[in-house]
This record gives sequence, C-alpha cells and structure tokens, in this order.
Amino acid sequence: MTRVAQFCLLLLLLPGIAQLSLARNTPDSSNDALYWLTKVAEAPRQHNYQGIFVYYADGIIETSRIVHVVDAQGEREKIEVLDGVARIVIRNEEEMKCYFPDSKTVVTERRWFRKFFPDILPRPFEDINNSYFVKKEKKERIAGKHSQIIFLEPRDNLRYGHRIWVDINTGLALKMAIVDDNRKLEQFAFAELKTGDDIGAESLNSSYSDMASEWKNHNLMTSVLNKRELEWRLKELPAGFRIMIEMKRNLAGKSVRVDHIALTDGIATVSIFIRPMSDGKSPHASGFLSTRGATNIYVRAIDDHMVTTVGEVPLETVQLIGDAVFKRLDSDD
Amino acid sequence: MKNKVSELMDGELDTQEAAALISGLKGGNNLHDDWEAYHLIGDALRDSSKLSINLSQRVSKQLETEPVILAPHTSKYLTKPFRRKMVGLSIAASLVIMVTGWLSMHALHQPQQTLVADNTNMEKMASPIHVINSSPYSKYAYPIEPEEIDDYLYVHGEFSPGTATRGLSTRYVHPVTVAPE
Repeated sequence: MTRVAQFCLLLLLLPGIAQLSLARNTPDSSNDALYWLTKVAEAPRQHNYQGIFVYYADGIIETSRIVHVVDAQGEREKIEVLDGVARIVIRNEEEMKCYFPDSKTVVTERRWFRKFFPDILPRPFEDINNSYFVKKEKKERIAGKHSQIIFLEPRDNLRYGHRIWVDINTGLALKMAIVDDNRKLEQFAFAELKTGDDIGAESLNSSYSDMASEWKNHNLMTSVLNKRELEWRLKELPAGFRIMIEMKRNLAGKSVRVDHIALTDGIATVSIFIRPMSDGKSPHASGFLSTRGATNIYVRAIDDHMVTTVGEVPLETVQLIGDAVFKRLDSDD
Repeated sequence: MKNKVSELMDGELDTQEAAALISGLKGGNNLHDDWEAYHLIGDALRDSSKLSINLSQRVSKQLETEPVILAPHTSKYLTKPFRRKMVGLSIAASLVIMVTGWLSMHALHQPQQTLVADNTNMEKMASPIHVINSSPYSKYAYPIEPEEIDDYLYVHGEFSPGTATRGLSTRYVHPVTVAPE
C-alpha cells in the first residue's frame, strides 16, 4: 500500500473513531472517586469554617463571607453577600432567615434540603453513578490548600458536568464548577478559608437580628405532602431523574399557594412550580428564560394553570420535565 | 471611580455614564490600569490561559525593535519532486474530506435521540418517548415576569448549590431566543 493510500484510509476511518468517542460509554465510577464525594458530603457536618468565597458566572462576580459552626446546639451558619444589594442569611439548623436591609425585609422559612456552597452534595447520593461517571483528576492548590479534583462527567446530554476541588485535609469543597463540555457555566471558589474549633459561635452574631424586629417579615410556609397527594402527575421523566419531594408553599407577600415538585438526578435539581392563573388573564404561551450561570427556566400553561420549571440543567431537560406535567384524572388513584 | 469601572464591565451603567467613563479610560489616567486589573481578575477566575496582561505595550516595544525583512525567503522544501508529491497528496486529501464530510452530514448529523426513562407508575399516559434534539433547536423567548421568577429562583435555592441569594435579582434573568428551525 502506498503512503498516499494509507493516508486516505486513515482519513476514511476518522468519522468512525469520532463516533465512538461521542458515545460516552463510560464505565462505573471508581470507589476511590466516590469516597472523595462522601468526604465532600460529610465535611460540613464535621468542621467549623469561615472564609470568603466568590461566585462567578457570565462575567459577574459576587463575593460572600461565610461562617459555619457545628457544636452542641447543632449546625449554624451566617452568609453575608458583600457585593451589590446587601443580603444576610442566618441559618440555625433548619430555620433560615434572610435579611434585606435596604428594603427592611426579613424572609423566614424552614429548609430541609439546604445547599449553600460548600455544602453542595445531597445525602445520601447512591444514584449519582447512574447519571455521572465520577473520576479523580489532578491535584491543585486552591486558597492556599491542597485539593484533589473530582469530576462528575455526565453520561448523556441531559445534564451538565460538575468539577469539585476537595480539600485533602478536611474534605470541604474549595471550588466547584458546573461545565457544559469544556465551557464553564458557573463557579464557586474560596478565596480565603480558615477551619478549626477556634471559630466560635460569637462569629455568627449579626447586628441585623435585633434591628429586624421592626422590619416587614415574610414567613414562607411549606406543607410537605404525601406522594401523589397533589393534583399533578408526571409522565416519563428524563433518564436518571426522580421526585425528591412534593409540597404546597406560599411565596413572599402572596396569598396564593403554589404547588412545588422538586426532582433530582443525584446532583442536579429541578423544581416545578404550578399555580392557577389569575381570572381574566389569557393563557400564556410556553417559552424559555435563562438566568446567570447554569440555571434555565421553562414556562408553559396547562388549562388555567401556569407551570414554571427551574433547574441547573440544559434547556432540553427543563422542557422535558415541564412537559411531563399533567393534571390527575378523576379516575386516577 | 473603581466601582464605576467594575459596573461598566458588568454592563450596569446607563449609556451616559458609560460614555463618560469610556472617555475617562481613553484619557490615559489611572482608570485604564483599573480596567486592566479587573479583566485580569476575571480571567484568573475563568482559568483563562490567556490572561489580560497588558500586551499592547509589549507588542509596541517589540515592533519598534523588530527589523523589517524585505527579501522573500525560499524554502528548501519547494523542489520539483516534493511539490509534485504534495499536489498528489492534496488532491487525495480533498477527495477524502469531501467523502467524509458527506458521510458526516448524512450519518453523524442525524438528530440525536435521547431515551427518556419510563415512569412505571404512570402506565396510562406512558408510552416510551424519544426526544429529538436537532440543532439548531426551536426555542422561543418567554416574556419576563420579574417578581414571580425571583420568587421561584429564591425557593429553588433550597435545592441548588448556589449562593444564599442567587437569583434574587431579575436583572440577570433574560428570555432565551434561539433561531427557529
């Protein structure tokens, strides 16, 4: 075979090679990589920490200061957003208060699935391997600490990849990036982090707690419902997604309660909000919205209800999940 | 003024303020240094391999010292037999690329099919479906309802690994407009 013929044969084989590489037929995640994820999930319950982290997406940087204390009184946290409009979150176990000094407003609610950086993983997370191939990458230094990079590579195009930089000593996530192939959609990263028992509860004090007694207070009430108690059902869901919780809840300053169904694939989460449309308003067309970073929003109407689907997943996935909603028939159940 | 530079980069200034600041930047005062510093920080956060270091000065210096070469140089590879060989290879490569291109268009670029899980407790409505993700896909924008979307983003924050207050400002929410099929 001449060299020219060999060259031609190689070029002809290229599409086949490319097709194989696109298949994403990845093996099971290694136990070692999954062990690192366990450390990330457990670390916030084991360590006191305080520091400054930045959120970066679409050219916008937002800096926050965090203090996190675990002691006999449980898990408490204060997060203060340092850029733009002032916002302070004080969390005491499941109770969360969010202070908005500019509008003199405080929003109170109970949160069971709270996820503030660096507490980013659900517990337990046994189904992650179905949707993501978890693997160890190189080691890197972040905020003066040595970290092991763990990559959660999506097994299909229904979700984004997650790269986590894990502190080798404590297991805390020092940095996280949500990626679409090689494009970084959003990132959280500590610029400064201190851990240790010398971080005491006094660091959690906030001048706003006393001042806020005069402020407008919105108490967000949530009723967790039994499975299939809502009048809504979901048809086929995108592979790997399952219902996490079904609720009825009120929103700040609104009298109408909305139905809320939260779903997860082990990492990514999607919320479906369903509310009746006001009288006299014509039904909305369906369409898409996007916000900073990885969050996409899909809105559609079902009869006289508006269905809004929000999640850190691609547009196709929010649409699939939003379109899966249908009203329970009387003959159901 | 540093804050103004930061706001300009984030697109938060109105037209008049932006125009005034850009004039200031052109004026060669310290604002230009702030502008470059902020870009450098942004690039570092993005892990960009090409940081926004001040290249313009370096390039100008290099150009000043660079000699201008007027005589074209000849290559030892451009001998007759070598050129003949290269022409042959080029024609062969072009043909192969045309064929592979055609194959790619007709075989690889079929709309991608994504299998959607069957939710077994919904047998009545369930018939396994396939979602066609053709590119470009047809999407259209939804008119913004700022307050309501803010509420939903805030509540969804319980489940997403965001900052405490991500999504509390609708200035970041925008309709998605994708070219129709």
